[in-house]
Amino acid sequence: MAEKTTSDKKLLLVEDNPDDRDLTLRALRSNNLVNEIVVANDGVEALEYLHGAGCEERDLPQLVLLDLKLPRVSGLEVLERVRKDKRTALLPVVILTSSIEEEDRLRGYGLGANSYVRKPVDFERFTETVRQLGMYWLLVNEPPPMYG
Amino acid sequence: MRILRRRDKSDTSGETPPATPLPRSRRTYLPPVLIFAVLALGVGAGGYLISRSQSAALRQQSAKQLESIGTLKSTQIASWARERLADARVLQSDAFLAQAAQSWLTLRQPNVQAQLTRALQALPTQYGYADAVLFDAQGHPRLSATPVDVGRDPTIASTVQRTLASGSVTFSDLHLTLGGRPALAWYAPLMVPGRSAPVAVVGLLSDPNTFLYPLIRSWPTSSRSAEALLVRREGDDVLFLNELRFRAHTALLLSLPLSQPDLPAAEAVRGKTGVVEGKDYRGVAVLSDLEPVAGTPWFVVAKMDRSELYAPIVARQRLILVVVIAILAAAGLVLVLLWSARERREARRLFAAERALRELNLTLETRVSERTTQLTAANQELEAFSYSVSHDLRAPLRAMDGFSQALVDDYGDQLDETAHHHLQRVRVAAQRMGTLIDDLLALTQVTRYEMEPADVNLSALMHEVVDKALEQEPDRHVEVTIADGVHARADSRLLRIALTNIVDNALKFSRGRATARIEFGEAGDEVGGPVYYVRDNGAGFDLTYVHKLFTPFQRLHRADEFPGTGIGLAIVKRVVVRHGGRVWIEGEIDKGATVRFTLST
Repeated sequence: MAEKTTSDKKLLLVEDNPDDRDLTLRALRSNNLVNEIVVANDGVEALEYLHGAGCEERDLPQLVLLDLKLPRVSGLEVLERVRKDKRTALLPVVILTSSIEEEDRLRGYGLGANSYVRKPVDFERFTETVRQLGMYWLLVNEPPPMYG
Repeated sequence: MRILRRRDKSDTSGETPPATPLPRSRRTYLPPVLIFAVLALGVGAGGYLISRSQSAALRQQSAKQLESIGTLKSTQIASWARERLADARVLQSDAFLAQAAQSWLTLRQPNVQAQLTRALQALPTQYGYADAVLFDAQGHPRLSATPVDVGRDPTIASTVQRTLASGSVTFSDLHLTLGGRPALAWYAPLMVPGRSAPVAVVGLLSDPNTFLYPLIRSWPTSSRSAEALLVRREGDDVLFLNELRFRAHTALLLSLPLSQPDLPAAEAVRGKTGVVEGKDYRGVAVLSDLEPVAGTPWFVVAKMDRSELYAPIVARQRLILVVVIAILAAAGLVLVLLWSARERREARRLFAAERALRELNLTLETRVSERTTQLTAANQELEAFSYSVSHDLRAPLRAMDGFSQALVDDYGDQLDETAHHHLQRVRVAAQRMGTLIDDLLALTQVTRYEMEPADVNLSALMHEVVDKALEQEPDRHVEVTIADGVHARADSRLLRIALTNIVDNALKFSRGRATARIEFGEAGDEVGGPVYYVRDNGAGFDLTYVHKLFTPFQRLHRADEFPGTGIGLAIVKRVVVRHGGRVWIEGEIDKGATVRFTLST
């Protein structure tokens, strides 16, 4: 099995809310942290991108920013399927959501989320949060070896 | 959770209905026994009263009968004695007899002797005397109706002398003759004109066996114990004059001391009359009628054994007793029947009630289960609501805030100052709403959270909470007093939330003080248990609005004085209420505030 490289500074953003999506993209871009941002508008798209047709040709993202409340397939379900699949089992996934419900945090970590971050309402703090996430996961953190 | 637990309890009690019938306690039998006792008392008392009145009537009747017999006897004896005295008086006043006697005693004419003898002989024949004897002036017997020699009898001799001396009729009471026979006599002096002393004495000798004793002995009715006695006083004794029914050889021989208690004869001699109870010479209980005999020293005692006299009374009493017992037995039987019928009815009623109760339990279970379902549904709804608020309500706020900022970032140079200011206000409002939502979620979280009560060291918890709060404000000068060893049974996580809110408030409102003071302890008991308090020396509040303090988002201070949403005390109250306790707050403007609460978990 050939080692599949994670594309340098490639990030998958799973977010259904266009406002949140735009704000997140805005925050990410303002910090110049990423080379490539892939956006999935819901869970189905995210899974399609990670496991679907033609995924062999694609490099895996270095980080997945995953919203929880998504139409069709929920964020937690996406996480579960990602972890079950050998190809993406070790993929760094950070839950980025509005909720700090105890239940969400328990299940998120239970399913193997690497981090759980709440989106602040204050856009300055939101930008700062996203910046820190990008800094850490894209620059500081060493990704696991990935196998296709 | 509490309701669920309560349901468990009712379940277990519902599954084990009392399988054994109710114990038949003594109390069950108490009422009929009481009724019977009252009945027995009533019937018994009635029987007793009837028996007593009947006995009294019978006794009175017996006494009357006895009294009439006694009176009759005494009257008969008295009139007999009076007649004998009258006989003697007739002789005393017989001048012919006196002259004949004087003449014969002096001259001894045979023809006169024959006349005298005939006259003497006429007396026993006509009047029933045993003998009639003529004594001379010296007291010697000269002539008699019968050839019996009475010359040596000392009683006769002495009585004749007394008659001669007194010159009047003399009675010689019952006595025994030399031959041992009972006798009594009357002596009449014979007087002639011109001589003061009697010329002779005629003795009328009577044998009581011929008339007196039979008269006494006769009884008008047939009786096995009836008896009449004739007695007289003899010194300190009572002397029985006639032959007794139940003892032989007693006439003039038996005497008993006057002091013998209850002896009717003695009482008669002592002067008592009428009907008395006592014991006769045999020592047998008798009823006696005591009557003096007029003109004699005698007393009649007419008596009957009480056992015979009262036999009808006893028989009547027995009859009444039998009737009473029969009535009570019948009443008891009726009572038992009635009561057992009642018992059966009661048992049926109890059974029905028990069944109804069981059915009610079942309905109750159904109802509890329905309620639980409803409650679970409500809880789930609250969960879903909170989840939705948590996820969906904040995103639009973030968009407002974010795009306002984007506007400033991207087009800031095209906007004037007012536009900048307006955008800033949009952002502040959005952020504030974000905080409000977070607070609301915190409140619902306290409600939804599943409690795990355990022993909590409140003192230690308070230290932790205060230390953590002070970390946020390292520059404050705060004097903390926490009482040692305050424990409570509570959920430590919820309590930590409550204490954190209280301490945060205390620190917030005492911000203006050079030295803030926070004091925690336990003081007194309420209905719910010990009262805990947290006191500060902060800004306090106007007591008028105290009722608003525990409502979410109600504030008594302006936001520019003290920041906050007004959720803290609402959360505290929710925590305390979930513990079954009570929370209240005391304070005054500028004099600090004291939060007090109880926990009854």
